[in-house]
Amino acid sequence: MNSISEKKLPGDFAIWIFIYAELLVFGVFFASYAVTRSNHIELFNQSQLLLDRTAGMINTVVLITSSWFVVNAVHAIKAGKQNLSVRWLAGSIGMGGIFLGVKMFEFITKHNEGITLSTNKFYMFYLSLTFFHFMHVILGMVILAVILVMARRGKYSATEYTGIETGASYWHMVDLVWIILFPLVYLIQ
Amino acid sequence: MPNSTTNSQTLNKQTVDSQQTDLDYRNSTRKTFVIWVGLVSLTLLGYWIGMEGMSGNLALGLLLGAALIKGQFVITYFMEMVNAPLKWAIIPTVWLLLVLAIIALMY
Repeated sequence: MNSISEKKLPGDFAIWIFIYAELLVFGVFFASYAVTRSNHIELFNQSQLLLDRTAGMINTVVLITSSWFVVNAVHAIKAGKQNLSVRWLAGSIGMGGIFLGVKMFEFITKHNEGITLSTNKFYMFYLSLTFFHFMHVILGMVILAVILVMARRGKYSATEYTGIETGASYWHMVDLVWIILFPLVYLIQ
Repeated sequence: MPNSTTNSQTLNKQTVDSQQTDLDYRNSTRKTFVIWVGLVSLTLLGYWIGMEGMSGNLALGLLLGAALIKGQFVITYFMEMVNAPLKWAIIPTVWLLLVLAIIALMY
């Protein structure tokens, strides 16, 4: 049990400044989407219906599962279970790969339908927002891969796990942002 | 003899510590599994609302409510803000509430 005096942010403090800055940027993006939609409700509603909601739902479940794997990797290393932590991390990277694959499928489908950033205001937001998030997933996977390699080399233990917590925190931020993005862009009419 | 007793006591303590660590790990993964089930269930609820073509204030309230609960679950239990100082832990929660409030106001 953590007492009040032991309370601290998980991982390196610097990552939290980065995470809060990222949340601010995504927050501005989401607000811009909502404000623009309020002036083009019909256009946004009609365009939104053409999105692949099943792909969006699958990716939400995939990302949530990936986040769950990561938190288990953190708990495993805290319990001194290095091999288990590595396996959870590998699973979360695999889930990240599935997310990218499904998103690529969506991007290619829209590209083949002739949809671009300039098709209309909805697609401008849909493509830029989801691509921006896509890039964050890639960065998150790179961070998790580095952590996995370090964990395999025995760099983390039950007493030294700051690196794993740092990468995990970033990955959860990527998940948190998608939790808003999915209903906002795919579902809310 | 005293040395042997001390070694035996140390060994016993290590075994007890190890068993406690295993138990803590199993409990924590069980807890995160329950949270994962909740997150997936709320995602499927949102998907169902979307696929049913529901719109209006009820659908908006359900979708934003689900996003609020899911987001706060991730913040509290996955980001482990439950163990962070309040001044830092409150930031993602305020962000979540603000973003969802702006969306609600604009719809």
